[in-house]
Amino acid sequence: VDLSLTAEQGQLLGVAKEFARGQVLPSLRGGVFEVGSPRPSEVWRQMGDLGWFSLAVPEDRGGLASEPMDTAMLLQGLGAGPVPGPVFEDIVLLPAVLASLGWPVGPDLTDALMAGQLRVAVALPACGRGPGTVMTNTLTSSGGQVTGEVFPVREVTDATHLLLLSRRAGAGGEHDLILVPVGADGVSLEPLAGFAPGQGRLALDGADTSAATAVITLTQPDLARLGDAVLASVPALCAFQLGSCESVLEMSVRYSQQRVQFGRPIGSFQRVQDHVIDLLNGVDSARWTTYFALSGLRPGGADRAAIHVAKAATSVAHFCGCDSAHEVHAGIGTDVDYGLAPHTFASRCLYPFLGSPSWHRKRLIHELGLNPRRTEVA
Amino acid sequence: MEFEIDYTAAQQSFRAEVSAWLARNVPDEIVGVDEHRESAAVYSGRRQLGRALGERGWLYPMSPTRYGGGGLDLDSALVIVEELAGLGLGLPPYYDSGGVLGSAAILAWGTEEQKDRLLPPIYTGAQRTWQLLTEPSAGSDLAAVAMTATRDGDEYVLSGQKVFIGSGNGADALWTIARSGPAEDRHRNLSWFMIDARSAGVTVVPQRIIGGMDKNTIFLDGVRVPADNLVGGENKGWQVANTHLDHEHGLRSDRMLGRRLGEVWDGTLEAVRKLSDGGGRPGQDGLALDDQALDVLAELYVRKEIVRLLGVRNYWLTMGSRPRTYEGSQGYYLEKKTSQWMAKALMDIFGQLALIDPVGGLGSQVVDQQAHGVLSMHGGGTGEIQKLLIARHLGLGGSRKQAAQAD
Repeated sequence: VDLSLTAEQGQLLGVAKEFARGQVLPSLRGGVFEVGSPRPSEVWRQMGDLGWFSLAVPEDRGGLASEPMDTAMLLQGLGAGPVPGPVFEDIVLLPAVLASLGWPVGPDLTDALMAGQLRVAVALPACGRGPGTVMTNTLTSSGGQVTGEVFPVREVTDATHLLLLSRRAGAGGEHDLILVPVGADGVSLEPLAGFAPGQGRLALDGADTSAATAVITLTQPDLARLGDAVLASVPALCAFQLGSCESVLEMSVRYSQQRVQFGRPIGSFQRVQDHVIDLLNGVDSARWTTYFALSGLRPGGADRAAIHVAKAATSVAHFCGCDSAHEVHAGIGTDVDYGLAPHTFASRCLYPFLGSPSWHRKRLIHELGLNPRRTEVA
Repeated sequence: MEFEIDYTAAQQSFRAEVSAWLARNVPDEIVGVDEHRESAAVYSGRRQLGRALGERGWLYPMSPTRYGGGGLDLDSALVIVEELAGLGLGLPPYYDSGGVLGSAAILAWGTEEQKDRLLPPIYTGAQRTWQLLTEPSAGSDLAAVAMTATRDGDEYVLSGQKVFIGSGNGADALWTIARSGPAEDRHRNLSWFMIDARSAGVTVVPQRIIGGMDKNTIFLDGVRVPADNLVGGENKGWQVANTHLDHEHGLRSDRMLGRRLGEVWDGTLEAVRKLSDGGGRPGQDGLALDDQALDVLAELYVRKEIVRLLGVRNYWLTMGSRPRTYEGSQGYYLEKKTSQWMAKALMDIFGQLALIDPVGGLGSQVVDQQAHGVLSMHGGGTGEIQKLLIARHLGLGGSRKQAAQAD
């Protein structure tokens, strides 16, 4: 048994964490996490300069083809911010999707992605064994035009491009995977208020695929490969959540030590300690289930049960950990400029993203071969 | 045993009267907006309604008529609360924390002259009042407030900072606790003041709170307050605070009956039905609730009912002037924890939709619960403080003197 990180992994984690906390967050006002607030594109360019969008890109496409654990360290560090925007989508999910399909885009687009010139919001329904990033997707392609709705799309309000999946009209079960600019004719984006900053609804009304940056035709086997690729990317999302959990724990410990009420640090009260300990247990649950799932990612296959365990455990740890942190911090934690609120928003947005804990528990039962008939899910 | 509130024929008749009056006097544009996110126009309309209610004694229906209140019994007051709730309005129909909580303290601790002078503006709706308690270094430990009040002739001079105050659109008066004695004389160095919010030296700075709620930081810089506005006596503010906090920790009629969580349940049920039928915006194929989601939905109802029934218990104790010890804090604590739990439960039921504004198909009661679930744990005193009070009432920890004070 050796559970230590390599020197390179530790270094990448540290650099990413410093980038998230030291460079990105101070340059942003807390309001960036409020509904409709723009996210500076400068962050994407900086991450491109650092080569981070190249980590999961195959070597023969000019990327670094890093190991999943290495890429996850980057995500864990960025989650410490948390850095806003489609971070996970553009560093991990989009390359994973393209790689599963034989990387069907040209060098110009690949180079633009690796340089951070595109901020791509990913709107995919569940397919194959993979979870979806959206709940509703009614897109249909016919005669080179796409019509329908996608809802709700995370981190879309400042995206430059959209990755969409549209079912082709008629028999055959073919789909189009479409990369389209946000401002393309026939594509409308409606920002949505609520508790998830940056979310929106997309409506396509006869959008012409000739205006798309890329259109990739998918057969049923392609869809299955796509689903497996999406599922295999989930541990990296868990790593991002883990990084956020760690920050929340550090904030709570520090505040418990510094905040004095009734003449003593509040951390000396057992009731406050209980919250911090609950948070610690959640962080470590998230850490080791995530690392175990990452260790099970192999070329051509993955330990799917471990992935389901990781997402179920990490999403609950993230959500409930933020609840614990708010109990420790009380009023100040609800001030969006303090620094806890961005993690709270992230914990809520990522809880159902790529499969809720409930969805993953059901898939886990299926993977374990228990009562598969009753647990079959769409 | 009877769990339903038994309204007399006279009270039923009163309900019809209230309902008819509200139908004539409540404009549509002021209903259905959170009091912490209301526009200036909505606020103005709500103040106008408040004055109209005040003229009839319905703004503070249980308060003494001598000071402008309604002099009604609790059941009749609940009729008004229920009829306003049916329109999506509270009572008062605007955020009036210092009015609700301060007036109770003034009634208990004010001089006759102060009651005659300070209560009618609150009870008639002429004045909106915010309470000023929390400071950057004094939250749960209210006795540690650092805002100073120094006697200077016929006035006190107040300086310091308060946080998480009020709502939007300003206030007319500020019900404020400050330290008037030496810092080391803990619990014997506090005083309460009613302050004109337009006084020189008052600065209101908006705070940005999770969920978009309007709150403020308020700075008092050498604010001069007439000594006549000191309520309860110099350095006797801790006694006043206990009256104030007792009301905040569970004796308010709206909270007593667990209305807000009931409204969340109503909104949840409405959303489930709408989405399951495919009638919701995103649910064109209908929202399928699996066994796990249904289990969470049932648990949500169970927990909502527990809070409601404990509220009925508190109502019964209060109405009959029966002995109470821990019950107010218990009801408040469970309401907080249930509210926190509900936020996650709604995510388990609705998934991403639970985060999206009503345009997504769910009502605001469901979506707003994400913010309420976080905010509920500290508003009006943290859950930990409620547990502390319960423990003291049970004789656990703290001194006998503290237990007696908790009573």
